[in-house]
Amino acid sequence: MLNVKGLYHSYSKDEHYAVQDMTFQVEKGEIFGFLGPSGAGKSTTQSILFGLLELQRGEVSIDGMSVKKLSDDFFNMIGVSFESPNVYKNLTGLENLKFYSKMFNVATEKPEELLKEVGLGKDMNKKASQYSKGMLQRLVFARSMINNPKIWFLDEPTSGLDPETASRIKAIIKRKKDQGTTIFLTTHNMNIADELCDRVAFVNDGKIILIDTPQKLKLRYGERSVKVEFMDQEKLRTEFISLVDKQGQSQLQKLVETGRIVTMHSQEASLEEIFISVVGRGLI
Amino acid sequence: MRTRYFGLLMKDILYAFRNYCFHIVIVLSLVFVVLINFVIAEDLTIKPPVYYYISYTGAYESALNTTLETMKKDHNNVLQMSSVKEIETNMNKEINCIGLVITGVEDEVDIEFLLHGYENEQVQSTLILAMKDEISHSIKGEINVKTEIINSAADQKEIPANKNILPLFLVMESTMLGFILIAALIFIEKDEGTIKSFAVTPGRLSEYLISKITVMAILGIMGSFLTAGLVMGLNMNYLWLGVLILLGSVFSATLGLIMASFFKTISESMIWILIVNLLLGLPLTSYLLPSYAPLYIKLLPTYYLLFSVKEAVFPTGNDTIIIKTVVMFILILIVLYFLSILAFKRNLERS
Amino acid sequence: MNRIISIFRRDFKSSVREYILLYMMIGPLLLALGFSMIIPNTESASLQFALEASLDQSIVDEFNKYGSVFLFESKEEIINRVNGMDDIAGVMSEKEGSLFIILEGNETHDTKVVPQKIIREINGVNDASISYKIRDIGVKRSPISIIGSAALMITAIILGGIIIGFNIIEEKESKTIQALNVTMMNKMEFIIGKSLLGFVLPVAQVYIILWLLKIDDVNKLMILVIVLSGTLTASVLGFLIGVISDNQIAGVMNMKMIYLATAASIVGAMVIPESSQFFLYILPTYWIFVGFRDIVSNTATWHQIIINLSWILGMTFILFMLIKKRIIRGLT
Repeated sequence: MLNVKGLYHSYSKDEHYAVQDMTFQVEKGEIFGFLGPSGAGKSTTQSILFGLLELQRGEVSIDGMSVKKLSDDFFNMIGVSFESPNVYKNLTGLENLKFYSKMFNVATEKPEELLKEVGLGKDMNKKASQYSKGMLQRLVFARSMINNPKIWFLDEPTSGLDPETASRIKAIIKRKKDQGTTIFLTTHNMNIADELCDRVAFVNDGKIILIDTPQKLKLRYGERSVKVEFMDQEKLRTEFISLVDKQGQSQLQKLVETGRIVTMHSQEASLEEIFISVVGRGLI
Repeated sequence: MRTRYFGLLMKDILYAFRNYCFHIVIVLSLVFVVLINFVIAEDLTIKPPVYYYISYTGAYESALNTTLETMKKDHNNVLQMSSVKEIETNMNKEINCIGLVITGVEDEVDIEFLLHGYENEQVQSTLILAMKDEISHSIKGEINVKTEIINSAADQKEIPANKNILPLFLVMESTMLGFILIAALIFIEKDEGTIKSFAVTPGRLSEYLISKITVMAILGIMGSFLTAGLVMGLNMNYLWLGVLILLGSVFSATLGLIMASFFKTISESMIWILIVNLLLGLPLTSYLLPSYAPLYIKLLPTYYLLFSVKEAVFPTGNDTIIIKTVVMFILILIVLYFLSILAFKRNLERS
Repeated sequence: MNRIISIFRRDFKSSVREYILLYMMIGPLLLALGFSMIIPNTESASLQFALEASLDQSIVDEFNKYGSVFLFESKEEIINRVNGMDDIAGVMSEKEGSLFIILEGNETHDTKVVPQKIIREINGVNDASISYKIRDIGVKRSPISIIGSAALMITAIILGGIIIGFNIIEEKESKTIQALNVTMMNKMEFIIGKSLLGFVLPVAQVYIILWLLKIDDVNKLMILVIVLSGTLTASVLGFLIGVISDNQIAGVMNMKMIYLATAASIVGAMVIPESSQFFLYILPTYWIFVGFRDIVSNTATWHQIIINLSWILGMTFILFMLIKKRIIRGLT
């Protein structure tokens, strides 16, 4: 669906690359997580993918169409949910979506229903200037769905939302995926990536460090272990025991046999920890 | 494409309306109608006061007196002083006036003009010439010089001073409004980032710009028809006025777009916008002083617009002026339009 | 006091960063420079004549005494030129030698009448026994340069106010005013801090404008009095624009209104007879303009300046009281 090969970009048009040698594919119906700290080159890459920035070097194609030749068909097929709340503040939420729907020449969704879906049904006739930050975020999100995109670019779709609204948004994303929409999710929130993404790419310093499914990454980089609480001479002790090496396996076996275990939890490394261990820096 | 254009247009009109653009255009137009119809006098020709002192006695006395009487009839501020000193005192107080001292006896008449010192030689010669001519007129009577009038309709039409200002308002206000306003619209959208969200739709930059230009043209035509209609009634050429105002507003709006593309915020651009606005306003000097038409004013398109609008509002049948202006503006607009697209492409890529 | 200065410094810095300060500085000065180049042109060439090229040199010389002469080969060319938008009188000779005039018809009085007088003069109709002399009382400054310089100075002052207004609008849009409210910032301090920039610049600019226009023999202290009171007016107007405009478009529209009032003051003071200028009295800008005009023409007395000052301050104070609530509310 999305094919990127040897992508480079330099704002100063010299050797100082903001993005260098990126190559990856996103399959149809997949949620692809693009993860990295701010300044890693995520936004630049994204902007090239949906045609806001000119392609300088490399190849990018979406559904077989190169971004070099931006046609109506190209834009009709993509949806972009920006991180910044870039809506017309002097128009109501509904007017914003109605306006936006006229910009496409494919069948569009009903603005009212989209707004209800993201929980703005009550406020759709209020001017956007009266919206809170979270409401604006949802308005941008709803707007990006208006043309029923085949490939959907989401930039931090849940940042600044309360947990309830965030889970509503996540449910919409999952449903869209089930309907066959390809989703390119840019975020630095690893929990969301973990929860939603089929595959993730770790980005740092303009380069892709690795690409894999969250499960495989955890298997590969996370040390599988259990956290065990057990009684040791009338005292409660906590210990992390590795499931990989022989010594740990036998220690765990002994504890099970003696029946001194109080609680036991399996431990897996979080994406965040993996990112830190692979890239050598945190996400913020 | 048509759906997109009308979608954009509806949005831009709504935006202009919610920001009171329509209200202000209507209020300004009405204020101007009141000014023209009720406040400004029909005759505004300010003739500088003439202070004179006469001590001459002799053969020319009656001729000189007749001359002074005619002058008094023409100007209501020709005043006799009792001494040269008194004239000088008055002249020191007033910057725009003339002193006249007539002395001598019998065959020797000495006429001295007292001026401030800023008046150039041509003005000085013209004053002497007028005096000479007036005196000989009172001695020898009327001597006519043959005069051919090319357009007798224009000759018979005396335009009252208050109505004469109307074309100035129509060009400088209704038309040039778009210049600043469109820049403001652009800066708001830059600020909101909405231009970015538009860039990921099939919508084209040209549609985006043309829609804004259209709103400016609507505001311009609305304002000018309202003002001109209430001042002139049906006595003018609405068709030509409409065409001229349309071209003028599109011109100023496109220019405003190009200006706006160079700056990040409105405060940054404000001074330049005002300077260009003033430059485009320079031809008003030539409009008020029609014999003053130096090259640097004739290079400004507003010069031609101003006189063409005058012809549309007070028709004398000289349509060629208007047609020439229309053709000229269409050519300028084609160039400006491509420049604005270029400017914006460059601008979008930078941000 | 420290906080006032810190607001001023922040405004100053952000203005410098965006080159606004530079633009503010050179904008009015550029205008002054342009104006100083235009003045000599406007003062000469009061009339234009389109003459047949075959006319005697003596006739051409005679017309040259009264205006600019342009030569044309044929009658068609002269008619074409006369039909142009500006006022120009065509002059040709008949076969037997007498001169006649070609006009379009819509010319102003002087362009219609003066050529007739010149032709009568050439034909020797006028009496030679009267001698004419010109003497001047030594005032070199023309009404155009006086009105122009006064208009430029008031523009610089009003511009200062407008910049204050747009500073406030931009700050409102970026919501920094709310951040300031959280601190101990007193509103009046905020207002004064904001206005300082609008105060300081015009003072310097007005003197530079006078220097550029070579107007150096005027009472500088009187100028200062009018400038300071004028900047006060401009600041209040700037705050008015700032608080009543929700965004930049509204700001532009409100600025237009103030621009109109300023233009009305200038044009009104010039074209309306003095006896009926009273309805301009409520505009402080009228008094600023009249003040500058009289000072530059060296006709102002301190008595008059005090009257001007009282009107400016009085009207500005009334305006401020009217919008005080609005300002305080607008800033919260």
